[in-house]
Amino acid sequence: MKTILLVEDDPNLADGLILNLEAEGYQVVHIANGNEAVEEFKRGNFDLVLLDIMLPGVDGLTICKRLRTEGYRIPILFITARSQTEEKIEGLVAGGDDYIIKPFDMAELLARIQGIFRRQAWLASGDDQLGEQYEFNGRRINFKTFEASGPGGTVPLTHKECMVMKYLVERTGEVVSRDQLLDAVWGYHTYPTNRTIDNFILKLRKVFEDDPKNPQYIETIRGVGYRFSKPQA
Amino acid sequence: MARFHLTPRGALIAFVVLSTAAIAQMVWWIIFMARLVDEKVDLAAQYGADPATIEQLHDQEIGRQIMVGMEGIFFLVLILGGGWLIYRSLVKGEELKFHQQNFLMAVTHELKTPLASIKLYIDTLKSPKIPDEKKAGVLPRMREDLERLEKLVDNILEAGRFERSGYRLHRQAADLGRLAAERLEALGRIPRPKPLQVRKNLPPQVFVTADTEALSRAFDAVLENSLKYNDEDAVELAVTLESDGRMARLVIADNGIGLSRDNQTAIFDRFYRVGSELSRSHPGSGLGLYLAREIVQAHGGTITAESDGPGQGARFTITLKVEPGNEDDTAG
Repeated sequence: MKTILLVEDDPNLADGLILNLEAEGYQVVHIANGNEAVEEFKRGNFDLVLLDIMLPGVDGLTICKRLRTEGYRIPILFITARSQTEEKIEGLVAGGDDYIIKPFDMAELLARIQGIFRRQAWLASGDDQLGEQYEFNGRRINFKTFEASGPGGTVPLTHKECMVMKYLVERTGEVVSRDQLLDAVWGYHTYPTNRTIDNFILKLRKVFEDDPKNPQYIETIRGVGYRFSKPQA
Repeated sequence: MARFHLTPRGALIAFVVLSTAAIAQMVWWIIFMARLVDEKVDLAAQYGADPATIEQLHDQEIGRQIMVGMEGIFFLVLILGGGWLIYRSLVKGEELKFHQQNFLMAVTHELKTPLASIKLYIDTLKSPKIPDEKKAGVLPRMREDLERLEKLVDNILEAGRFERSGYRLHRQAADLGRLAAERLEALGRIPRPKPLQVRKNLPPQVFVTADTEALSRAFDAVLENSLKYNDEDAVELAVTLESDGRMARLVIADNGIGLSRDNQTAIFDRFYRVGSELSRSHPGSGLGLYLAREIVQAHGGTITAESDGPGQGARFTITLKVEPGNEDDTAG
């Protein structure tokens, strides 16, 4: 049974969420205060964090950043009243995996949660052709430990960076559109801007390319998207 | 083209730079004028002017310089004063902008959270996976959310009405003690998560001329504030009414989180809420106490807040003019 940490200060909304999530077979631990969220997270063994942004004590964005800084890669889904694009991007940049805007349909929230678990399973799957680790021309990426090594040394990747790379590698030689990447990595409706994708690509190039300005492996296909190719070393 | 925008810090730097330049210009000008006197006197001496004429010329030039110098100082003070006023208004404008943004965030959160809860409970009622006994508790929750929304919408509309045309009062004689007791009673009827202990000393027959509905709203805002900003296990309120026959003072003291010195006046400002909206500990929109102040002031009264500091509780004092001899007990 998957366990969800729910961080929400409104008692009515929290109780309604607990009722519905438990009915769907999830186990839910509820925290109403931002101050206690990180400690509670460390005490438990959670599969997902449902995180309100405006919280008493410490806000959700800070909690998310703190968890990511401490190396936790658990999926985080923001529940927020803020609907401006900049605010959505702020949540994703802080390390959130997805967000849902109040007021929401329970069916949509459940679809988002299932989507996150599905993508997580895809990334962790070791039974496909790639396996847990992929190596090319002296570069290496481990999809389980999120570690990557290349000309710039060995660096830890984020959950999303790893997913972007895995998606590209699985389609070696194919042109992948930004929409495809957004859909596979962030899930439906959670689209950040194209620039956000570009930032992820820049980071990956810094890890894997000899000269990130003249990429050999992760090429930009003008007006379409990106292509991963494996030239001979 | 990007719009020119001066931040308070930028305005302060600009003000300091301009002031320094103006003062430096003034000092240079005085030095230049002093040299000019010496040059004129020397020139007069070179052309053979007699000592009395030179002396007279010197005195005249010094007198003229003092006059021009005084004018210069006057204009310098005027420029510096004007610059300071512009700087202050920029800072005030930025503060207001910050509080407006905070207000928007607070209202967005306060509107959307109960809406999300109601929508969720509708989904809950429709869900075949949730047993009927669990669905039974949903309706009271929905009602709570709706009442919360209603109160917020009321406050926003009321604040808008004040902004547009002030408050049109429908005054009548009102027994202030009785009115306050009624509001306390109404407050006690609402179920609360914490116990509420009220001590009251509300002598009867203290009459004011008031719009009882508006004044009730002001009392409610102060009482709700005391309940909301309280982290103790039980909320304690002491409500007392005093009158010297001319002025009536209603004091509401609580054991809440208290107020810093700065916040004692700022809490009555429109949109004002203490701290950042993202990590807000207490719900609200920053309109309740603003409305309370507007209503009390529309009655010709005053409202103040005092506190010995954070964690020390707060005392709100509403002062209104007593209407002597008015014993219309239909009021309230």
